[in-house]
Amino acid sequence: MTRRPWPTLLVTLFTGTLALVGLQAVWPFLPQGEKLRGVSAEPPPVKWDWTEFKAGKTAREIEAWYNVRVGLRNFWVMLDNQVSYTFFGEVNPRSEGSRVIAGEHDWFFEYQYIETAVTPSLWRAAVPSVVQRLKSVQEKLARRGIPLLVVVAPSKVEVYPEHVPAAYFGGRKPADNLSDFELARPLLQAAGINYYDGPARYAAWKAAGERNLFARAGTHWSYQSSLRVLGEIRARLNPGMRHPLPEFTVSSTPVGPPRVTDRDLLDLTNLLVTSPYEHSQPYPVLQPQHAVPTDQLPRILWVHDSFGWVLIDQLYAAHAMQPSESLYYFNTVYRIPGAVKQDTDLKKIDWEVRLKSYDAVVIVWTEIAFDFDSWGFIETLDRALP
Amino acid sequence: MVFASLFFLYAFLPLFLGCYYLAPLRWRNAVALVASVVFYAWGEPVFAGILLVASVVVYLISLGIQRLPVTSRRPRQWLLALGLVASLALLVYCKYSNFFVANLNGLLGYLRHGSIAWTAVALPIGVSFFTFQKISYLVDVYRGTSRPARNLPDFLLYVMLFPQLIAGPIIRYHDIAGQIEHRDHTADRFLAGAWRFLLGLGRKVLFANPLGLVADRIFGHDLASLPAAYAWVGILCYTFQIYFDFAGYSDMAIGLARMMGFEFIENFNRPYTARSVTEFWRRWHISLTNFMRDYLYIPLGGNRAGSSRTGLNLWLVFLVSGFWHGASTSFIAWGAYHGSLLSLERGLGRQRLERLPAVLGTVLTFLLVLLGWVLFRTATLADAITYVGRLFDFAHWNAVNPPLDFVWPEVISRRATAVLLLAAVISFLPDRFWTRFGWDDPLPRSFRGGVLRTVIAAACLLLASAALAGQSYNPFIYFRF
Repeated sequence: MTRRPWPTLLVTLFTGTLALVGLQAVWPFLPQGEKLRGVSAEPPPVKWDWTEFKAGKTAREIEAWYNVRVGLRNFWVMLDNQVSYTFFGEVNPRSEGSRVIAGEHDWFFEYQYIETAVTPSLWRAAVPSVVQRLKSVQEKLARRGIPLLVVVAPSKVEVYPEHVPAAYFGGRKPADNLSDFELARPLLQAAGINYYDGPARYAAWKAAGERNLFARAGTHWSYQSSLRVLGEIRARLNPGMRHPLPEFTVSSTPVGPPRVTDRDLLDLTNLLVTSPYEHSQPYPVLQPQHAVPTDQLPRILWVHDSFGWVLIDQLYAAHAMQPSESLYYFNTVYRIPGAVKQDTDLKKIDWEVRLKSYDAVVIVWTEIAFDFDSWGFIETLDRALP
Repeated sequence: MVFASLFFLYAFLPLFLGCYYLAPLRWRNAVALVASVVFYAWGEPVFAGILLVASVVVYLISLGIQRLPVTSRRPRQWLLALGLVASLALLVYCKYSNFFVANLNGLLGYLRHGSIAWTAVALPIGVSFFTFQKISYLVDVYRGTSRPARNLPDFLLYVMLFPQLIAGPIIRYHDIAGQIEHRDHTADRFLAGAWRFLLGLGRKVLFANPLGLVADRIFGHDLASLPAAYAWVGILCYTFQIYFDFAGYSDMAIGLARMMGFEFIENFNRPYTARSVTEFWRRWHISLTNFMRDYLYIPLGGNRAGSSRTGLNLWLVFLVSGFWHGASTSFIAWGAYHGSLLSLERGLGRQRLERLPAVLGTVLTFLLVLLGWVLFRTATLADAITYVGRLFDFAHWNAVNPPLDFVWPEVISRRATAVLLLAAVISFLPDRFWTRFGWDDPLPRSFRGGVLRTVIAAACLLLASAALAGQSYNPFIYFRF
């Protein structure tokens, strides 16, 4: 009888693959591959506790621990995502985390924006009182010589609804639904709130044929359009500031693959190959200004959501602002530039003292969210300032 | 522990196979037994103790039966009854006591007599399967079909052998007794097992899981307002989910056993190609059908006592089968539904059914089985009736401005749609297609067939691992709070 080598070889290959992938979890001898992008929660540590063991919890914790460390995990996650996107034009749904929806021609959207764009506001009744509080804080700051500017950022879904797969709107139209901001707009105007109407500006720019207002792969305003926003913010802030913002100069506008926030949604899809979906974007290069010395530059307190980062980065790239603080979602304090997280307890801040060193307060939130109270910042200031 | 998990695939399985094949032949049963205890105790350590104790009791009773002379009929019968009661008592207590108490409390409430205070009993995983295995063992020993196991470890291995412990196939003792004592370990058999295991993994992870997500979403919706199109998609997805899930699990069990040198009974044989409900039950969960036939239908009299009695026996067997599947009125109704269909088919006569065109027979059978799955999937009988009503409410075919979490792409993605279509194609391909390509042979017939199998198996492992890993990663664009 002749011995055939194939079965033994295949058995060795099969068991060897299982064993090596398993060993990789505890002894990573192979490179783990490209890191998975996005922020995710680590599974809780395994608790070696008899009661938990008896209840089977320890076993589940060990499996959860193992699942994030198993060999080739990053490759597998990306492969699964690639199968969905390449063959079905879809981004895998997730049981938690940010959901990304893919439209035609590699337009990506965050699901939350789609949902909000066609869902009636739940906060209609609260809008007047929040606007009144905003007015009160604006007046208190004005008495201290500090202008307040509320920058309302547009939603990509509201600007480009035609690129959202129509089925996701379920027969509704974003244009037929008043967003929280649209409800508040007349009240903000009536109360004399100093606000920047991003949604109106973007709608006008789009109607005028402006392109690249948002990158296809990003959820935030593009670098190019946000620079334009900065120019208009400057014009609005400068008249009331002790130290005005200097002019920005763009030295060139090269075109290249999307970067940082212009590709955050594409990154979140965690595909093996992204280059075919990286549609070029213009990237204005800001010339750092030296006409105004650093100590004469404004110091601005930023209270913002993720739309604020692009504005902040561009101001520092132009050397137009002194080092300052960012109160991200009025929850985490970062020292800027550089976004260095600070160990500051927001509840213990003496706002009267703190605000003295600032030339302006800029709040940035997005039109879809009822963030008029700036995540509690306005109420805090209203209480803290006499 | 479940087979379709990264931990099983890449930690438990290689570790077990390494220990099993490095151990001398005479120690392999011991390795398999220890691994089986660990496998069962992994998620439910307490229940492993209960299972062990219950198995020891049954083993001791079987020794008692064997030691009594065959002429001592009555004592042997008493011992058999004791063993059956002991086995069934655990099943009844763990699986049905909550159901009985809830119904009793309902009745007491109706009669305004208060209620019984009751702490819900947790269900040990696989209890329905290992109870039937113990019954099979006791009856086999009583009937003299098999000698009792050589020793307690052999018996424990029969009950606890991990490939079949959780969800079958239901192995009858006389089918496996010889293999526990002696079996061959060859590379060919191992390879055939690996192929079968990976095929099952693919069925479970790449087909059943995504279809299950769709079915869960639809059955989780308010059933009373479910548009007909959604209801059809939901039940179609569930119909293929339950097949690919269960058949996939059986494939994995058969494959794992084969890797260890065991040969298990086949459990599924393309059931959705059946041309009658009777044929469906010859192809669906074959090990359960065999068990019910040998240990319930035939003892009830089978088909030996006239057509009315045969019909009643069939009906009773399926009623018990329904109740075995789950403790709820829906499962009982499901069993009664299938029992009625089988009795009806028997009453109509096989010849009449065979005169139907094959395609019509298959479609009709599929639709009848599909309607039965509504009973199986819904929580209550009332829900099942509502759901069937929605299936045929063609006036409300699709939803107008559905809730956003219920628009079509949220309910069924393009990938899930493709999986559903592929599942349907695979399920309806006739036997001759598969036999022509030697799909059912443990090993490929030709080198080309071997290459094809290797590619399919590798793809199953790769894509299933990707899908399992993908489910474990849920990134946020930013953490906000």
